[in-house]
Amino acid sequence: MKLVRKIRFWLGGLFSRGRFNAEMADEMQHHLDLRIEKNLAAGMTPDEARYSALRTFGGAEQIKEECRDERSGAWLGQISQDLRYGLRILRKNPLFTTIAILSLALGIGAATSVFSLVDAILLGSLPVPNPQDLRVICWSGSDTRMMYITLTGDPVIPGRRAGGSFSKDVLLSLRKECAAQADIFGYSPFFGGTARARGLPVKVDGLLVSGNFFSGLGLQPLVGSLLGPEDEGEGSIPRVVISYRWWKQQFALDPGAIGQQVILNGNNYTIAGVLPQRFSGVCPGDVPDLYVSMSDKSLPMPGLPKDLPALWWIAVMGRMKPGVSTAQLQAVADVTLATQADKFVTKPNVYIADGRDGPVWKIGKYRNQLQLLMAVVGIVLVVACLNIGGLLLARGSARHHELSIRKALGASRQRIVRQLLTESALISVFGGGLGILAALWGRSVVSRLLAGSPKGLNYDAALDVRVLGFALVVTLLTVLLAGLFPALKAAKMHPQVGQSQRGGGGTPPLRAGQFLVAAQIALSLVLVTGAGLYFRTLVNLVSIEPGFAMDHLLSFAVDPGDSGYQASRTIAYFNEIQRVLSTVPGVKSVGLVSLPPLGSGLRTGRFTIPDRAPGGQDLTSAVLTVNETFFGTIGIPIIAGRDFRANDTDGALKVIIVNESFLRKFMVGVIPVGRTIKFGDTVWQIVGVCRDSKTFDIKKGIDPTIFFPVLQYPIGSASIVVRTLVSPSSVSKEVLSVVTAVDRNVPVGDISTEEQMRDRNITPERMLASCCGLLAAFVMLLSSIGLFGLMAYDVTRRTSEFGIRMALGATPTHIIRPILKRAIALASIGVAAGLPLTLVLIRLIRSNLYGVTPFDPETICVAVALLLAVVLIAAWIPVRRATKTDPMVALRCE
Amino acid sequence: MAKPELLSGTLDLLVLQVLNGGPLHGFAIAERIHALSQDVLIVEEGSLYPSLYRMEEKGWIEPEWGQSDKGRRAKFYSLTKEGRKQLTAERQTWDRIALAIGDVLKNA
Repeated sequence: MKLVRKIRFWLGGLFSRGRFNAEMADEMQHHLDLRIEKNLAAGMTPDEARYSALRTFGGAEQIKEECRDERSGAWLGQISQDLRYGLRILRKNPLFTTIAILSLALGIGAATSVFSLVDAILLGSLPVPNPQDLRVICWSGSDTRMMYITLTGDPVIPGRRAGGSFSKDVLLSLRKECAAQADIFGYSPFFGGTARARGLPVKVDGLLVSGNFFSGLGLQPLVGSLLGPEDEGEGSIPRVVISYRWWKQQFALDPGAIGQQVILNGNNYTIAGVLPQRFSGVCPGDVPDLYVSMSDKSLPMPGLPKDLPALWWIAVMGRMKPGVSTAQLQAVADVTLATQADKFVTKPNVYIADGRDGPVWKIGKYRNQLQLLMAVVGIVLVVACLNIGGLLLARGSARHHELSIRKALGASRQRIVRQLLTESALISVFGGGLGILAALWGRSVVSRLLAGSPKGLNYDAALDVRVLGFALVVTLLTVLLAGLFPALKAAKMHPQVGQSQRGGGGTPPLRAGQFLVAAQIALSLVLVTGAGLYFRTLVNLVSIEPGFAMDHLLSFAVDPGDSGYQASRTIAYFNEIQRVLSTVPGVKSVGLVSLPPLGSGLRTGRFTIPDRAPGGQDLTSAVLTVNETFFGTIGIPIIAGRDFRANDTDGALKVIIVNESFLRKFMVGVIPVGRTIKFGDTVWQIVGVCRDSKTFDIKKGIDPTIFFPVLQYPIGSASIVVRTLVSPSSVSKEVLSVVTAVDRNVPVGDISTEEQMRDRNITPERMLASCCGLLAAFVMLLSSIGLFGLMAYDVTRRTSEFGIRMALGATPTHIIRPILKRAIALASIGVAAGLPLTLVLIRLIRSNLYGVTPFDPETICVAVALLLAVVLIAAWIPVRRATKTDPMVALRCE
Repeated sequence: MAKPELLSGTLDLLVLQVLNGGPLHGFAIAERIHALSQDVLIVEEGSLYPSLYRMEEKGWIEPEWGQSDKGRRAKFYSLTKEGRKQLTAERQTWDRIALAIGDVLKNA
């Protein structure tokens, strides 16, 4: 009963406010009328009667407001009233609203997207049940004798050798001996396999896993089943588990994929099941698409017996059994390792690390860039908040008049504060909402920025609850900081003061506003300088000449070796590709090279120079395999000796070509052509010298390089380079289709122009430069808006003063000069405070710069000049308006 | 002589008490209290109406629009069941306090 009435009241408060107010007015009027009648009856004149009644009654509007406040639904009605009023006010000032919302959206968007990634990389646990029970198991020892393969990066233990990879024997022993303490499982990633499902063959990364890998992690299949202990046995039907991503790519989420065949590096596998979408592997940054049992014969190192005790290639993790301590596991595992592995590791110990994030040693690579981004984004967020604070402050002052009227009409102080806070809350809701949308887009940008490839870092950085919480906290703090101060200040004001100040000269200059603007300018300087340094880095990188013409050059990778081609067939395949490509109109010439030019990949080999005293010691050089048309196609000149020829075949004299850097390093002061080196078991004769060129990475120096002819040094995969007569992008489609047609079983990699390859070399720099540039421009814009607002407020406040002075004979210069002086003083204070800050912070980006020092005076000068110019323009606009004031109009403002 | 002020909280009691005699509108309530107190107590509109709305909110009194004796539309308040209970409770409290104060004044 009571509740029903309450609800009726609330609803009444919300929906029938009009009737409520009308009835209340009726009631009060009735009261007044009766009082007047009574006065008349007492013998007063009509005027007296009315006046006396009104005086007794007091402020009708105030009484009404108090009555409204008595209603329990009042707060609901007031909030909706506040909201509607707030929206109306925001709509009335579209410029203010847009700036405030956009600056908040950008600040929050940037902060949330970076935090999403930090969360995923630094704070995120593996998406499995009870990740806190997982451990990463490593070893350490004083010395090692084994073939060791680094898989996930290795832990660093001072004074000892340490690693995260084990042999299969050791894994099996650990699993058996420690079964009471933990469920021990192993995995080993493989990269760049060739897999074919329904469509064309594609390159895939994958994991070789022990039979208890999925059960140890506690994973359930999304569809089908996962690999189990039965898959570990010899002679079992090879089964493969696929990732959600691959299921989507290859099978369009078709559940019928279960039981179908996948050809992986030429062998057949049956699809057992699909993993849930949120699971993307155990190593940060790697995303395996295929999971195959590690007893598989053909993966990942054909030719190396994977059971070899000396081959350490499996990463190991474990899930603790309930109630077992890590120390207990350590004790048992130490004994096992000591008996099983003392042949390979001297004084071995097991090192057990927290496994809830998987092996995390790899993360260090991204930590610096993440921290840098956090700093930049933090600056943007702070400037955005300062700006909103400044805007609200200035607006609060401009609204003295409005607020004083509301106060006179009976609004309580609390109500005014609440009203202003509601407006801030509205801004923050819109800004925060927009910011979260921006973050959804921004996190893929950040991920690409970090990984430096168009595909992006393989982090599925979902905007989870924690990230949303972070955004919310930032938003609310902004509201409180930016909204509370002006609101309290406005509420303290006395109504009469407010009214008398209508545009008058009595309002104080905004001291807090000045501080906010100076702080914004200081922070802007940091970002503008940073952006300037990145921009110069980018210009330096783009203007690097690699030593060959990058225009009209296409390249793509082919991998016949993975598809089961043997050496002789590979050569035939390469020849066929060259033949069909030469028939494509617009193609000038075709060459072959083992690694794509500017593809960032580098292969090195050891060699000796037999005829050189003292001789014998191992030397290291980069190695490339090319065919006889490579140098001509890419345009690297042979400066001594000869190019490769078609008759440099397997049976002929083994020949090589070296570059100038090779000569400078290894053959100073001798005539190189005719000399020999020993590489592997073969002696090779230098027949030519080519000019130095950057074939690996545009950012790096030129390595000494040995070029082998493909007929004498066979390779299974290669990059084809195509010099075109016409624009390379116009023939790339045709090139791709004729190459694919040669053998549909051979995967053909992405075709790209050499300029695109170069751009990929410098992706991180480009992304950082554009990101910083954009943010710096935005922050500078915000600061200038802040200053503009401050100056405009100042000028409006002093309009009548200017009017009087101009009426008394002051020239515009008299009026402009002090105001501009103040703007410049503010900017100078900002710059003075910003310079030391800049110098400290800029040191952090030293490693990201190319061809420019962090303390580049030119860049800093340009940044300061740019900032001052923008500040002056921002100040000039309102100041000019002041001088245009008609003295009479100005005086009438009073 | 200074205008006697109502003790805080006593207005509700007085309003409930005069409404116990039957429905009245706001002006009549003020007049009735004024008259019953031998013209000593003056109920200000600024206190009366918030008090009426508060008690309505609490469910002690119930408003109804009707015709006044002069044939005009007026809002009449009447006691609810809860209002009656509240009146009894407040009267007992008041009586106890009045007695107590009287004792103090007499015997001190």
